[in-house]
Amino acid sequence: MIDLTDPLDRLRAANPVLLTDPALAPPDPLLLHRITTGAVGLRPHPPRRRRGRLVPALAATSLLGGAAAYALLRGEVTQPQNVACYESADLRADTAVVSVYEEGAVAACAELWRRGVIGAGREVPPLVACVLGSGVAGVFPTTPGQDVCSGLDLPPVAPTTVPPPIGPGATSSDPNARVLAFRDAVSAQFVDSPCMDPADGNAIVRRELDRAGLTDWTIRVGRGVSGEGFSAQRPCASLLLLAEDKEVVLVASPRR
Amino acid sequence: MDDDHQRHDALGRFEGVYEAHYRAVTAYARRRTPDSGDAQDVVAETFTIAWRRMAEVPDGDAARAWLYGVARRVLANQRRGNRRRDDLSTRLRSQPAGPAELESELIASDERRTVLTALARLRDSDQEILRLAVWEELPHREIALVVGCSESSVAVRLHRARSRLGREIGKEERRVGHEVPEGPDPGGPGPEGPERRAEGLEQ
Repeated sequence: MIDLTDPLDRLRAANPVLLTDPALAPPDPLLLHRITTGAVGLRPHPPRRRRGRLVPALAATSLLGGAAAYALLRGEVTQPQNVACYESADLRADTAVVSVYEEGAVAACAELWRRGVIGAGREVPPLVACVLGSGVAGVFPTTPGQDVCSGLDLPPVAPTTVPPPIGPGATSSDPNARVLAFRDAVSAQFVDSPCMDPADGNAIVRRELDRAGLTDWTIRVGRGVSGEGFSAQRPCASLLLLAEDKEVVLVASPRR
Repeated sequence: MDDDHQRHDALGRFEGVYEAHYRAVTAYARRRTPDSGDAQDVVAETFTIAWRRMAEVPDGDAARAWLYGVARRVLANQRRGNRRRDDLSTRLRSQPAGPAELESELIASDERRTVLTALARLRDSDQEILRLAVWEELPHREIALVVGCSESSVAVRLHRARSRLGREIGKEERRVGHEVPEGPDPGGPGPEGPERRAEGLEQ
């Protein structure tokens, strides 16, 4: 019962958001992934997200997070795992950050336009990719004759930076394309498994590394990011891609 | 310790802080902004800052207070930006946006309306110290960390804020024609002594 003579008691009862509120979502793994891979902080101005706007995830790539940022040899897009899709040719526009798969950054954003996540159901416009200051590709709508990247004072993404699709078993001379192909192939198999056995995961990673031509990469069975090894509480293998070190770490994780 | 281990340690610590305090930081943000998108942005920005400054994040419960302190500054920046944008929008559209929108989303009852309206009339620093003490249920020591003052100052400021809230609630109840509850004056002196003396201490 509220003590109406105690303003603090009344204020306590007026708390608009209780920690027990079921509407309070549990920790968002995608946000954790975005933070630790540097994919947030893209917008140089205070965000102008529309009410109810969700940052979509095309797939559960939080498996491949951690220190996965690596420098491309051409010194342009340094975080090819993610792309920022802008709703207009304006760095302050609404943005959705999604993972890039072998279809490439522009195609990933086009899919968001098709699904109405961006553009509120408008037809997919011509899209162009520029390199944001964070090293992530930014994809903007454009019109014929418009040079969006120059207008935003951003360099365009070089055609070779976003790799062409690579089929299973194929290899590319572009090491970044090979890393992306490996990542996509291996993550699909890990995502499909409700709890990847560490030994099976090790075999999958080795096989996909070889298929992608990344034969000089190593696999390490490491501690989980919480410092714990594999145990009854953490029996499942997740992946940590340390591209700078050419290393894949099998991380102990709880069941999903 | 090599770089790899340091990176893993930082990731592990950050994941622990993130999982332990995500809901609390989300609740903190949502209690202070009516726009769920804005609240999400505050949470993202707060944890991004925590990741970048992981070495400064204290262990244990103090991490929560540290995160609230960051979230408080992020919110203040967001409000400044929103005010500028709203000013512009108002000039362009001549459709002023006011606190009514906030109230419509947050207030579910007359009692809550009365209390939150009274709270909103207090100065920002009073509002924040009351929320931290009552909604976030922080002890004085952690409130001091969030607002950047001494623990003893927190006690004085909280007492003053409580008194002012009591008076504003009374005013609001009179304004809407409610009956003022009988009992001790909610704005009266507390254990620290008369409010005038408390105010005088800080002058």
